[in-house]
Amino acid sequence: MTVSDPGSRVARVVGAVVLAALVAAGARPPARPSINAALLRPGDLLFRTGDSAHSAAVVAAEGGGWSHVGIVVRSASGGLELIHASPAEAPGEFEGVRRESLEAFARHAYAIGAYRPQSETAAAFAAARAEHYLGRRFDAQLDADSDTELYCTELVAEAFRGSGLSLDPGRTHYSVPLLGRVSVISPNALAAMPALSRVL
Amino acid sequence: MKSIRNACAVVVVAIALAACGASGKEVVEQFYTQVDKGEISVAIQALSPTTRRMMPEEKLRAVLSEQSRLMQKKGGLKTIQAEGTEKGEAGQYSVKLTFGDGSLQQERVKVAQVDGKWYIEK
Repeated sequence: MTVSDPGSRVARVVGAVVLAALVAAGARPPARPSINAALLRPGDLLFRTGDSAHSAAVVAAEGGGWSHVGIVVRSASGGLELIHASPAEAPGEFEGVRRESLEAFARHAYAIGAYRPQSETAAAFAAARAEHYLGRRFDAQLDADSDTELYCTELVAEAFRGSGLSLDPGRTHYSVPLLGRVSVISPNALAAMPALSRVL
Repeated sequence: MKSIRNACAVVVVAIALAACGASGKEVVEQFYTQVDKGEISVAIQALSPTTRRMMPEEKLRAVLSEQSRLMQKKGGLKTIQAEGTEKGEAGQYSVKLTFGDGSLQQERVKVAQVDGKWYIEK
């Protein structure tokens, strides 16, 4: 493959290596956020910011931004866990709507936030409804309007549909190379809805 | 083992930091190259912070991974020609991609500078 001349970067690389060596010598990964389950109840939405170094840099520079969301549900043992739509995050994991412990969800997080729907009835409805979507495949296509495959915010919007409380902020449109015009439900647009209040 | 890990970390961070000073044109070319190679996590960093913050990260990774698969199905990326201009903190490029099977794809890409770094803009 050929690309146009990128130009010389020797000085930049040397400087970067020196800086990186300093980082490698002293850097520590950011502490994983903990989740206080006592503050949560079924139907709450748990948001996270990814744990990549780049996400951390974006958070530091711009004050945050959620990249993923799941719905808190009651576990078989009476505790709390989460249902979310996600690609596999570990070998052998199902690519789609699945249950996960709160701890496992936090394991991939740089930051965590919990938001509570203003209607407890709607929240309970959505928590129960989310179970209905377990096993659906992750939506890796651009067909945002189909519920046969789901991604994180789409699952939330679908779970609350018919609950009496809409948690669908509408689609945000972006042009991304190779993808063209992409319409998605933004986690940040969802978190900003007045029907939600932050509890964690 | 720990020293090898640290050395690898140094190299990875060095490459990432070196890329920080790339021009808008280089950012565009690197984006397509990285998607072609399946380096989706790296490719996503070329998108503007606004785009990344407003899109579900997993969704973005998944759809770009699918594009990577489609590029490989066409024999992989052979050449990239990006032509355009940068003026001040914005620019626009016409990109011509040629694949291993001889097929062509043309795209228009906007770039913008945020805090001195070029990104692919929405």
